[in-house]
Amino acid sequence: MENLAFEVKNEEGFHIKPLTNLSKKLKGIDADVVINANGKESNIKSVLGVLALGIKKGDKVEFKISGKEEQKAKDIIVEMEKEGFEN
Amino acid sequence: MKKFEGNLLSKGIAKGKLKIIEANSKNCDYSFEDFEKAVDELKVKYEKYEDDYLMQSRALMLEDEEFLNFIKDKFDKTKNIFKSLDAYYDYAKELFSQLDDDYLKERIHDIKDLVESVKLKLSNEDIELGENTILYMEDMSASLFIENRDKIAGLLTKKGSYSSHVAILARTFKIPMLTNIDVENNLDGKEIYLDALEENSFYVEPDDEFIKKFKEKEISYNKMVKELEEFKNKKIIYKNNEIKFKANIGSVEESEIIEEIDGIGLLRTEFILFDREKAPDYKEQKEIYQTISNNLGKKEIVLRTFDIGGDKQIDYLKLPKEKNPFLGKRGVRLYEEEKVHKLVEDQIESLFELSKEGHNFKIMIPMVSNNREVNRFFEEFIKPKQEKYNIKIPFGIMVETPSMALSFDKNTNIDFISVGTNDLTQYTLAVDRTNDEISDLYDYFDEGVMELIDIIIKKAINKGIDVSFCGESAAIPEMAKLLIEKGVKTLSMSYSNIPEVKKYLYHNL
Repeated sequence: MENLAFEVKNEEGFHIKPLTNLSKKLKGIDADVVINANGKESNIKSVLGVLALGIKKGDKVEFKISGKEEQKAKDIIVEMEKEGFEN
Repeated sequence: MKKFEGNLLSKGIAKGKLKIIEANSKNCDYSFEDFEKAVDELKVKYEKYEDDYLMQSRALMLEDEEFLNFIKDKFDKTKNIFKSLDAYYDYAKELFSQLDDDYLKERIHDIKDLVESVKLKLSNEDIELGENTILYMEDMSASLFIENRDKIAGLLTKKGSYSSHVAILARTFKIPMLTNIDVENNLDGKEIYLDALEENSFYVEPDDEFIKKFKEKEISYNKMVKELEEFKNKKIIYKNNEIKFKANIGSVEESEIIEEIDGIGLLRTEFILFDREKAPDYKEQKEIYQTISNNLGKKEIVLRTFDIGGDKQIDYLKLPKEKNPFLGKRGVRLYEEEKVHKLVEDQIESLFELSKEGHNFKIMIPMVSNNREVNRFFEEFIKPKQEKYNIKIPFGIMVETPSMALSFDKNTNIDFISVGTNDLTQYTLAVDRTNDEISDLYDYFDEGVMELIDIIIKKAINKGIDVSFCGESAAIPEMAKLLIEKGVKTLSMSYSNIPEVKKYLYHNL
């Protein structure tokens, strides 16, 4: 399992737009991604679950990535985080 | 000829075929397989919108296993897909209500839209719209609009508000839209004439004379819209000074669509207080101002503190009813009331916090009658925060009473003024601006009113106090010209009025 932690930079927090962008990139990659924030966690496949984490700017989030292609998934997330998940 | 009237949400004029769309919940013996099929088809459709994140996010939500399992579960119990979808929406609502972030709370609209889209898909097999469709729905769906934007000539709804997502989209894409409309089902498929310019109505089976006039109107309007587009970003220079054009806004949604603007000249904050059960807290206020500022790329925002009372009543504040509210306790006069005091205190505090974080606010207070009031506000609300945060935020007033027009220049606490011509005209002429019986007396160009405006501008220039105009009349092209010639360099108006005013000034200044 790979772990990844960072602080959310998006002004509006981590909600549907970053999540949509992220899910698009991770499509077809064999890895399970769970976000942990504010003491709760959700698989990123659950849209409501992620939204309900209520992740705001400045919140610390932790990604737990597991599966055959966990390294690949991690690299994608690292790359996207640099851009604030904007693309 | 039959005429149907509604309320304006987006200006424009169009002829088209009426399409009535209903999510028919009465007849809903759909199976779970029907639901799965509908979801699959919608998903395929949404995924085609590669560059539209709204549509992409809908596709994502449709493949959410939790969503699918939830519906399956509910369906097993109720045997009713519509009820299951409603239950999902209720569940999301409950979940979101526990969030303390307003921006996220608002995402509940995305869930609503999703649920409604699935219902529509189920009850209408395929919604195939022909070219030039005028769509009627009780409650318009944003994704349906985006999907069919090229084919939609106009929108009609039963329910809808000016700040709803669809209304904002309609204005952005210049598609006429009316709300508060009841249609009869036998009109489906009929050719209708939608005039959301002057009449806010649509017509069925008009005579030839009407059609001729309608066509002329349509052609000249479309020509004008095209011309105006060119003026949107044109610079207006007068005597070597670039005139600034700012927007008046009163919602978060408006701040989302505004682009290429010199800032917000008037942010009406009362909207935060309407349509709710209890007063917002500090955190909520701060988040709203922050969101608006971020949407505008941290450009300058003149924030007007709450202007309530008068014709704007709010239940939970339990303010006393008055015989003559326009001359009663309104605007800054209400700030001594305990509940209002707290709201304003939070408002000012949040602006200092945000300014410290690099946001660019100015604070402006409404409805002042004399300098004592201005100074009291300054001492009570502004000065303590200046000391606490060790920064200054430009402070100013709305000039809306003749007394302030004649005396603001004696005040040393203010950095700027903005002239609210609606109330200034009303109070100078002693004419109720909401009374149709005397509307002919309510004249922005009245001699006395213009003389007073002249005095204001001269006084401001003499004392080096920034002056701008933010009333409706600043958007009347001829008035804008007069004001600029008198020395005004900043005008603030509804965003949609700017191109028209610029065009006039470009040719006539």
